[in-house]
Amino acid sequence: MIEAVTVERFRGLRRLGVEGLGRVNLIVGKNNCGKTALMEALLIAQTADGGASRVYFVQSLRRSGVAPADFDRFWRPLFWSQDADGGFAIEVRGSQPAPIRLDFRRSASPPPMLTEPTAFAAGAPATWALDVRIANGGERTEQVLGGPAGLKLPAFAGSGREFWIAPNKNVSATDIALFSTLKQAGREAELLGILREVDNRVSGLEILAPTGTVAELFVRLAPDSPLLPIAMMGDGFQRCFEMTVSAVTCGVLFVDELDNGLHHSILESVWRWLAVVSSKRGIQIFATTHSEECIHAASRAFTELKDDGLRVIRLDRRDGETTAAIYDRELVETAAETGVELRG
Amino acid sequence: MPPRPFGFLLVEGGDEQGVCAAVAGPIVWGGLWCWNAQGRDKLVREAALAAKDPNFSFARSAGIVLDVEDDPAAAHALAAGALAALGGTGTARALDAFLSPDGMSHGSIETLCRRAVRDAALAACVDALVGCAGHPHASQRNAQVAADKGWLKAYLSMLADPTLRFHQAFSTAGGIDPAHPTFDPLRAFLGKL
Repeated sequence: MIEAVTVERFRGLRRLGVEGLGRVNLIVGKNNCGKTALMEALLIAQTADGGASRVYFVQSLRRSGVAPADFDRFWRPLFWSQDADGGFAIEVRGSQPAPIRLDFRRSASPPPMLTEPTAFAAGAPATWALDVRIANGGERTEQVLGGPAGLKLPAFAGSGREFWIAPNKNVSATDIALFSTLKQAGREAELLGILREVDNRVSGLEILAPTGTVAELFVRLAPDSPLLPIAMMGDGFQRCFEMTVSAVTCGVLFVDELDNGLHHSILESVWRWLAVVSSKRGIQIFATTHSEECIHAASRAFTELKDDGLRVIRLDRRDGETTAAIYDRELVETAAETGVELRG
Repeated sequence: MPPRPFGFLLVEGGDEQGVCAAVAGPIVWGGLWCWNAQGRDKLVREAALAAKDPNFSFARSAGIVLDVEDDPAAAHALAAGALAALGGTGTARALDAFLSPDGMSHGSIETLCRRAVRDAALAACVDALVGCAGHPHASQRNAQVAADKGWLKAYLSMLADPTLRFHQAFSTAGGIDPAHPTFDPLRAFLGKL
């Protein structure tokens, strides 16, 4: 579990230190204060391996449609003030024996030839290189190489521990595969309870292949009724499915704008479910919100469960600097009782 | 909290907030930023919340107003805990606490208000009424607080508007005089914030 993070020169964060992270962390603050950037930093530095792949992943979410081999348009916005030569660094500390520190910087030396086969090209010259220095007890370096011929990321098998839920619904093939594994293991019921909080007509979920090739997820709304493709359900239902199927299979869950699409009346149930699952499975959760109802719902759910695992992290930006204040469950509860605004 | 210099005041309840506003006067009060903990049990946590506000760094000073009630030692310990929570940022701001009525005697903010009523004749009548009733609060826990509360309610209910709470009675004929010397220590405390 990550207990502290330091972010330097990453996106709009010149320097941010957060200490005292909990099992479930709800990040709040005004627009452009760096909530999503902080979550991205936490995702990138989850493990010493695969940092470059995770940077590529988070940037793909923000820069979809931009060629990843185009350094200036795809990679440069990652750096504070777009200063790729100055680099950015993320360090996390917690239950790991040694801190994990990842430094990313545009290489000052000429990039080597792309001599190995890549997804894009082989034998072509790279025009830029991104150095990744990894410190985790020992120290080593990797390089991301790119140019007109394509992009080459350091080899990374991927741990599959982390799941990122974006603000917009996107039930993916990965989600369906995760659900398939759960259903096969007879664990479908773990999701159905919370999905019924969103829509009490739901009696089951089925994976079908109407075309014979592509698997699709269908929802059963009544025992003998026709099945409905999940895409026909509301945004909140689809996001709740993504969130829950990820939570019961992941090690770390990131949810950007958790309350998106969810009616305020079910937020407390969602938090109660997440609290129980995260405690039982020992997973760490990071989420963002702009909603006061979402904060208070989390506080009520954790209070009811007598669970001290909740932290609300408030980010504030002033004079170009970002600060973080951490509130435990009791402080969040007091703020709700006395009308203190936690969202910045 | 505002992003400009201010004196931070934390009070244990709405009654204390109303009395402080009246006693401080508009000029001093305008330079203060007051938070109401809505109960002394939340005083320390509210102080911790205040200290986490990013604009708390603009507070030139921080003060707490709470009642002694019937346990001066416990009240001072509570004030110390809340001041510690406010001083957690490590800055050199002045921190102080005012414990009603005088930091030592049993009582509350109502004790001060009782001493500052404007109509001495009516006050004497209330004294007589309390005597006739046999001082019913004397044997209670928090006896002085209960006695002052009961006395003040009896007094205020005989004013033209019998529904006023004591912190609403500062500008009422026969009400409570915020300029009364009994409030001078509180006024001085607020003026220093």
